[in-house]
Amino acid sequence: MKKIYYLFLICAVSSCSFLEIDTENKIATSEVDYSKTADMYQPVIGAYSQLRTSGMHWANNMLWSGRDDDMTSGRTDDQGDALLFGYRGGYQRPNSFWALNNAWVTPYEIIRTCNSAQTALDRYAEYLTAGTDDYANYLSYKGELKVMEAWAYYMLVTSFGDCVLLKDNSQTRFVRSTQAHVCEYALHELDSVIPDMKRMRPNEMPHMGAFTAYTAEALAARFALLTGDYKKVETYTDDIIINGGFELYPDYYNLFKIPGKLCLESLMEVQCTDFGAATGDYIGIDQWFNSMGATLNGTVGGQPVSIGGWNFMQYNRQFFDWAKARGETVRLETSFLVGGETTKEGFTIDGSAIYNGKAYLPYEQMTEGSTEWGRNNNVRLIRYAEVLLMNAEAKVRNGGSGDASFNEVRTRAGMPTLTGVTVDQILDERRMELCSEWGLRYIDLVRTDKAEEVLNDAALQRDFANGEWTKEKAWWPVPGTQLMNLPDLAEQPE
Amino acid sequence: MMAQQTVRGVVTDEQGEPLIGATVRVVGSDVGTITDFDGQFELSGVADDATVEVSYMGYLPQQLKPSGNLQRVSLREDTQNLEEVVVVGYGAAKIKDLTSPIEMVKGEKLVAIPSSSPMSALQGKVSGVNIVNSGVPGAGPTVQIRGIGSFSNNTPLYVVDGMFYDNINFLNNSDIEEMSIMKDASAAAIYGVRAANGVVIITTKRGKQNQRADVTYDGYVGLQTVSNLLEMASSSQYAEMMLEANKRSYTRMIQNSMKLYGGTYDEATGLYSLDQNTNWYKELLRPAIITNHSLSINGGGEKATYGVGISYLYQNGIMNTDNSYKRLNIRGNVEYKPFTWLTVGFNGIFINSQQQFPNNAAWQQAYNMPGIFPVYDPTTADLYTDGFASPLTLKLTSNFYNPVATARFYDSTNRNNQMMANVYAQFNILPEKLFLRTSYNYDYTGMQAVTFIPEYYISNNQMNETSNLTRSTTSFNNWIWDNTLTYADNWGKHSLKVMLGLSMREERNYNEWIVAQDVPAGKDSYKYINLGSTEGRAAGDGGERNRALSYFGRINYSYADRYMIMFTLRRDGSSKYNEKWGTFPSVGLAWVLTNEDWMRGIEGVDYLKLRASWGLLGNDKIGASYGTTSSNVTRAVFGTNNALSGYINSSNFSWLSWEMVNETNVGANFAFLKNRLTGDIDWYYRLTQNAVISPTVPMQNETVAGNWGEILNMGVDINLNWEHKVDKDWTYFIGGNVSWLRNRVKSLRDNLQMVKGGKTVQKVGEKMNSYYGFRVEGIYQTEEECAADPVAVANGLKPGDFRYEDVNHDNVIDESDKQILGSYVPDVTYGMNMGFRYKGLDLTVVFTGQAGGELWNRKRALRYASNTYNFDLDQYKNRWHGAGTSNSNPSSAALMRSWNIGDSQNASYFVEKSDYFRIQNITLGYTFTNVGTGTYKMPSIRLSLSAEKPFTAFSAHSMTPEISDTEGWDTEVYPLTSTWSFAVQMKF
Repeated sequence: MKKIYYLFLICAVSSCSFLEIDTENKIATSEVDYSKTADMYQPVIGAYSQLRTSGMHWANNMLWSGRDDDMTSGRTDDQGDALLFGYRGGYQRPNSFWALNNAWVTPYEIIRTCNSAQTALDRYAEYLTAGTDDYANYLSYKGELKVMEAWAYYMLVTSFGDCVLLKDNSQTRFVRSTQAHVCEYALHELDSVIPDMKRMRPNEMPHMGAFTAYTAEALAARFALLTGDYKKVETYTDDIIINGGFELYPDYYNLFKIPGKLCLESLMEVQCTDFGAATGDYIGIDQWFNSMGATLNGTVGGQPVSIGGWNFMQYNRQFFDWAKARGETVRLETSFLVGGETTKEGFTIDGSAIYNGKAYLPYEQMTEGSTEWGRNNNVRLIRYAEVLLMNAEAKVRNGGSGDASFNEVRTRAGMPTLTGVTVDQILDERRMELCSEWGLRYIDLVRTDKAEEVLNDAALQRDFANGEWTKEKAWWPVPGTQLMNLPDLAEQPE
Repeated sequence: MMAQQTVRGVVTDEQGEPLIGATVRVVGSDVGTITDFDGQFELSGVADDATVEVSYMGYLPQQLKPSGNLQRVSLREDTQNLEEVVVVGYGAAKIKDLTSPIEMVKGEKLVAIPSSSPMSALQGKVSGVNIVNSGVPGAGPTVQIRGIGSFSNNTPLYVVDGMFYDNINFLNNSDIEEMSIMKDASAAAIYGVRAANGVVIITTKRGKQNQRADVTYDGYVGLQTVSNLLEMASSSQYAEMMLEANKRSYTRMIQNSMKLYGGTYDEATGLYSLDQNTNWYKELLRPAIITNHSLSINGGGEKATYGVGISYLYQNGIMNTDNSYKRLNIRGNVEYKPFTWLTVGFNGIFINSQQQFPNNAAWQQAYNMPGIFPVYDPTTADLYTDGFASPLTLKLTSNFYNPVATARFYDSTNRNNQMMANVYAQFNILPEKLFLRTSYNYDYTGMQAVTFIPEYYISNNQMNETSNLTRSTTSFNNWIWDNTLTYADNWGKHSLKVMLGLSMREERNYNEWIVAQDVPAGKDSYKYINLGSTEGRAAGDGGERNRALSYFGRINYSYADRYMIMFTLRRDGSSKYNEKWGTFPSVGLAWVLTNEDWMRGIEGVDYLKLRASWGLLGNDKIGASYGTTSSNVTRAVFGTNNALSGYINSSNFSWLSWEMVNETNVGANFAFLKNRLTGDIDWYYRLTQNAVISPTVPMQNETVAGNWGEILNMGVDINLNWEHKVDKDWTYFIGGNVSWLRNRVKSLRDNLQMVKGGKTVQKVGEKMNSYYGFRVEGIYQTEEECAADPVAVANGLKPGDFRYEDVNHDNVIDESDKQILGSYVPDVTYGMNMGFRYKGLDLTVVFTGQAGGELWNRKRALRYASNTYNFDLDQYKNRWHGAGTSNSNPSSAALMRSWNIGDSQNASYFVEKSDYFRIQNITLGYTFTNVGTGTYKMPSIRLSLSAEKPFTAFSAHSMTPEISDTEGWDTEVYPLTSTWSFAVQMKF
């Protein structure tokens, strides 16, 4: 009997330590050592990774780009609801579509990660002395986070109009702010970090491709353009043009392909790499390129080779005709993959629609052994060409001449120069130069009050004319799922 | 010295048939014997005042006083099994003493049923236990006891000879001596934090004291065929549908099929008749063999008992490709009493199994692929691997696959080696009163998974450029150390049993995997990472370790076999959660009315017991919680081929503790009309508190788990059996069980009304895992009807499209018009069995079924992905094609518009009743007894023919209404089989 007693006693005493074991295969946040300031860039790297994964979601791209008169998601079956966000679906914009929810949530994931990364940065900064190089780096890193956050807000205000300002991850109030307030906030935040950021091109940065003061200014210019503050647009873009050392990449065709990665034209880019191997480690962007891809067939070394994509983004044929009528050459060849025709590398384009050539990577540029659309390519978020065109528009609207900046873009595209350009000519140039990029065409139509006329044009070939574009439909409704979870969102924006 | 004498007698049943092997024992001594072939016994040296007890399994024991004469002992059959001992967890109890519903299933009922997992064989036999079978060879069923009470994990705890498992798919039906299914909280509470989903205790076969060697061979061989084949539209019907929907777009495709594979076009009707008409389901199916052979030898002497067994199961899959399951089980146990105060024993099972998996994706593809092109195409044989026909030939690109090729180019095998060992010692401190038992259980499972995808090319969407091989190994090392002290005593009419226990356990697993490309195809012996390319190799690992420590106790008291009370308490500590300790009490009461004086002699009422019990249980089968924010390591690219590592600090974290089930059970057991009608009925109220639910964090895709939910399962379980032994040759029986279940989500976090998951929603006041979408009110019949409806105008709808219910009457169909459309959880499950025995001949028929649940026909719903997909025959036959033709089935054109089929709409059209009625089993057998001549006679040979699941009636457009997915999504479901088998049982 004594033995039994001992047995129970031993077990009772040892019970505490028996249950206290560490979780396998994990590191707690509390175990992060913030005094190791050499690791200070790590939360920023985390934010870049979040920008790549959440920001570059194929479904967001499908919705952002499918809103204007030039593009459509094209598919009537899989993700057919996306059509309802464009002219072919009469701008019905159902709030039940999953992709709409995705387009709301993913930018907030970026903002949330930037918030927590800033908190982490501040904790490192407690171990730094003001005035040192490390402290300057800390301020610059903070600026990089602000740029990513501002980019996410830009996508939100140009999709949903009014949206929530998520200034703190522990925030519990989710009443939306008006579009104007969000723009004001973003501009203010960018202005506050621009002086601390590096005045370099991203491709000159020690962390190659990291965002700089010029990236922040270009984004600020986008916000200013949206709010109609052309003076600010001119100031920001002038600084970039005069002091940034940016140049248009001469080869428009390859600008969007591997040779154009982080070129002199790049202000903001999401970077990917497959480390030169077709299999194994790939830091990429999931289906971003693949979703836009058409099916291309060719022969390499006597073997048939096929590059297949989802065809989720197509150009309206009228736009193609318009571009052709303008006398476009290199931009025509770069932007459009016309079904039934052949690429200049000799691959035939399957199907009968016009697909997005800016997402296309020729076989010879692909990593050997891979035929995945856009594998190893970067995504261009802001190009110098856009800065030049913003500059030209601001100058003209401010009463000056935009010819210089405007013609720089024209010349690179092999188009004749113009003098005394008008705002409309600049908008047409933007339509051509920036087609399929970030829904900029749609944003232009809305901010210049042309949307109603252009998008309701009878000439648009609608499959079923079931609705008109109206001002009320300019921005998307709050997704149904979000409304259900957060009643605050139904309240009047402030 | 007392006078001694020799007692002689013959033991028979009530019909006078001799009982062979009945135990005759002098009460309070080790003296005993068993009856011979004629039921006779002789026991010498019995004291005059001794009492001799005669017992036989399944009969009520009888006591007699020694006398010089030949004694005739006629044993009464124990129809309610009252004297039978049932395992209750850390001990055993007689059925008559139970205060809670525990169902016992004997292993002999399972041996002849062709199934790879013993739980599959229980389908329809036990009330309150819902078993959903799968057709995949070697796959076990989904088992739910009394509904589903957790958003995370609903599998019961299986305790095999003391060791904990999540399933018993590794056991052979013939390994099992008996199973105890503990349905309510008071019975299961002794397993505390693991018991919330019910407990099934399995005892493997073993010998008994003073038992002559029982050598039994059980074997069967059966042929499995598909139970129900879903009929698809033929290629001509498909052509008619496509052209009716959109002549302009699809004529070319149909004409291509006609041009390539033949066919005719009828100008008058505008219909095509295509020669190529591939039935993809039939191409994927074949009949397949299942066979099992088991040999077991059990016996025992005065001091030792032993049991050994070996069994081999082989099940081939009905998918027409390499998929099968093989399993070898070797089992052995020995128990020895070296001293009167000590019993020691060892028990071990060794299992080696190999499962070759089918590629279930082929089933969905077979549904989607029209029959307009062949499996193989000789004209394109040089273009595509193995001469398979490519969907490209008909310009079918993304979303189209040759299903037979999909099934073929997949090679995934699991090899498992499992060892379960158990050593124990029992110290009898006070003989028959106080004993201490210590038992150490150990389980090692090693899993080797090998998946090889060869290089092949069928189309851009169905290809693999470089072969790849994934090898992974997982090892589980689990142990449990149980110590119990049991005291039992009787005085007068009082009976008391007290048990105290301490249990420690640890569960560890570790897995690692490695992938390589360019591994040569052709032979199994090539499947080595070494033979692949060194470029692009990747590897990873993971692991988990959990520990638990428990103290528990149980008190059973009964007075005069009339009043019983049981109290249990378990205190559980777990390393898994932030809150480590929990206490789980339970209490049970029973009152045997028929043992009251005032009830005695009431005609027709033989036995009546009322029971009531209450208990708390825990569920720790949910993921461990970390309790603090974590940093996720991630990488970003800076320049060419340069990636830097960083981290993302999550601001979300969960602080979890176990889920708690609070259950009350009220029930009765009874036997009426000369014990011919027996049964039990139980009502239960089972509330899961602190249910772990993971709502998405506002403005994020991320979910955070918390103990926020409450789930109610309330129901009634009834078992009724009528058995009448008309005479010694002739017996017939009929019985049934039915379970009603009311499953409801009671509350969610704060005042949250609904949580959306990937496939279903959880809404307060509704069933768990409900489908949520637009309810189809009807079909627009005419242009006028469309023009008059603002919803139809706004969305450009046409006749043939769905009219959705506008719940808030705002003339807009949006998210706010979605509603609950059903759930896979059935309201009623039932089983019935009937049969007879006439001399050696016996026939049993078993029926099962369920009602009140719905499944999600994802096969149809996937149509959103492509307009060119095939239709099932019902979609063709019953489609809307003109005013008045249908008010529930859409037109062919509507089946191509996202208004009707969009993935966000979740139209109720895709919700179908999962009700079914099935003939579960028909068995016809004949038993020959005392076969042979001369000195050796085989005790018995039984031959039987059986049809397992020969017929199932259901309305859903599916291969089977049984969906392994707990949310009831019908996609990629391996069809269920009917098995036609011949079985032999030989006792030597």
